[in-house]
Amino acid sequence: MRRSVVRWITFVGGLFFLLEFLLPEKWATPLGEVRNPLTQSLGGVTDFLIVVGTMAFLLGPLNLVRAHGATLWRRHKGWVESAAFLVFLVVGALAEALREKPWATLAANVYKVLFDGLMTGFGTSSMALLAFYLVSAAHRAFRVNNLDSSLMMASAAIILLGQVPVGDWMTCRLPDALQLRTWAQWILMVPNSGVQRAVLIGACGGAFATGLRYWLGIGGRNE
Amino acid sequence: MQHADGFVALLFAAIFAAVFYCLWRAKRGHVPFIRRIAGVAALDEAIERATELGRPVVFGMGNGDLRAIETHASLSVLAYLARLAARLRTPFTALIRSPDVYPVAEEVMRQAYTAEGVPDQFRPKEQVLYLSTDSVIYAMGAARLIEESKAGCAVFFGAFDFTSLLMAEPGARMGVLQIAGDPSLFQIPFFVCTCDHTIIGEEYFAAGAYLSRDPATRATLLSQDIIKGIFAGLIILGTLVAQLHTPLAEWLVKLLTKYK
Repeated sequence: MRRSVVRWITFVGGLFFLLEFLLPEKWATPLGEVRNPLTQSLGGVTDFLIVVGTMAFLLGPLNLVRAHGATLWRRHKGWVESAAFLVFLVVGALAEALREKPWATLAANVYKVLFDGLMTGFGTSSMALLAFYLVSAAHRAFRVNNLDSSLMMASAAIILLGQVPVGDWMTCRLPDALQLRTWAQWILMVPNSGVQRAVLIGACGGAFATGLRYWLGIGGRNE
Repeated sequence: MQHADGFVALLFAAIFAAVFYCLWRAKRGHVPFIRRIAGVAALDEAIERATELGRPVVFGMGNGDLRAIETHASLSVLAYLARLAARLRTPFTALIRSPDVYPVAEEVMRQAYTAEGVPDQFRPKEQVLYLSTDSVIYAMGAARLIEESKAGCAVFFGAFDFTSLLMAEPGARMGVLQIAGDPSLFQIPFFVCTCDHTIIGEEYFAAGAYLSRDPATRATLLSQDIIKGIFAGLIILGTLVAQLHTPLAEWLVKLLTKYK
């Protein structure tokens, strides 16, 4: 019963958006011009969706409070980090709420320390870490084990060299067709673009079929 | 708001017809052959390996919200894996990034454990974790959880952004069996470098149906191929017609270019 109700709501909701898109915005009749009624009510429906989404927005932070609160309460492993999280959550929320009040200079300063001082620093450190990870991952990817990895390695080398001055310098005396830059451009513009488009078309078809499957209520997640 | 014109409506009709044709065939007992998708087939192996090692399974969802179709495809895989983990009594943790996905993921996992007859083993507070909407924090949190819990396997399924490498690299260094699925192209190279199996493009959307035992769901996979065929046909038609240089050909090329 519950499942069929959900399926019907999904179907009716999907039908609304589908018909709104397929029907023209306005059409002429002998009695005059008629506007698409679905388009006219689209704003209201979208507002409703935003309101429902906003209601769900608090669930995530609530889950965090619940999980960290339980860890702190039972003194499980990592309770110090949980305590720090809860303190920062409360302080951060208060600082955000009060920072624009003219009398709350402390809140504005706390906000500055928390976001400009800590958050920006953490973000920058994470991005720096990403640079090291890139090198490590590239080293792993460039190991030549079989034909596929050899092809990838060769094309990567051509593209890398074809886009930097040293690559130009290495092959500048050769005819245009043999220069690394020409090869790199060809790899990027012909096979690479072709494959990318093929993957995108496949993914779009997949998204469409999956969307229709959910809309029509075919199968279930636990079947 | 954009509205469909005649050509788009015709395409919609063709695609709908393809899906309904496949469903009609499935009702008559014709379930299409589905080729083995290595990454999706390896999901079972990954959970079984984690079970043998006595280590947990970590499932990372992407950054899409509930309105994104990628999220629903990801929830289908979550349901399958949670059910398998419940059957094998393997600890399973789902990491959520979007707050509106959180209650749905919790319900999906509850249903999976209930379907396996072990609803009492499902502990939502510990098994469904919302980390953050911030992609860097989410990725760092996921990497930390994989490291600290010494995960037996990690599955990343959803639309990810530039932090995919931050999330997957620590697991790769530890030798964790990792499987990633992402419908977009940009993170695929990073997942290829760090994961044992990568599910790309249409395979991502096919995964839910591939794992399903429902014939109608599996039959819709054939419609994906038909839809691809329709677009391939249009590309070939456009290419051939473009060589003709007649007024009709020029009009057709103009029409197809409009929808490029």
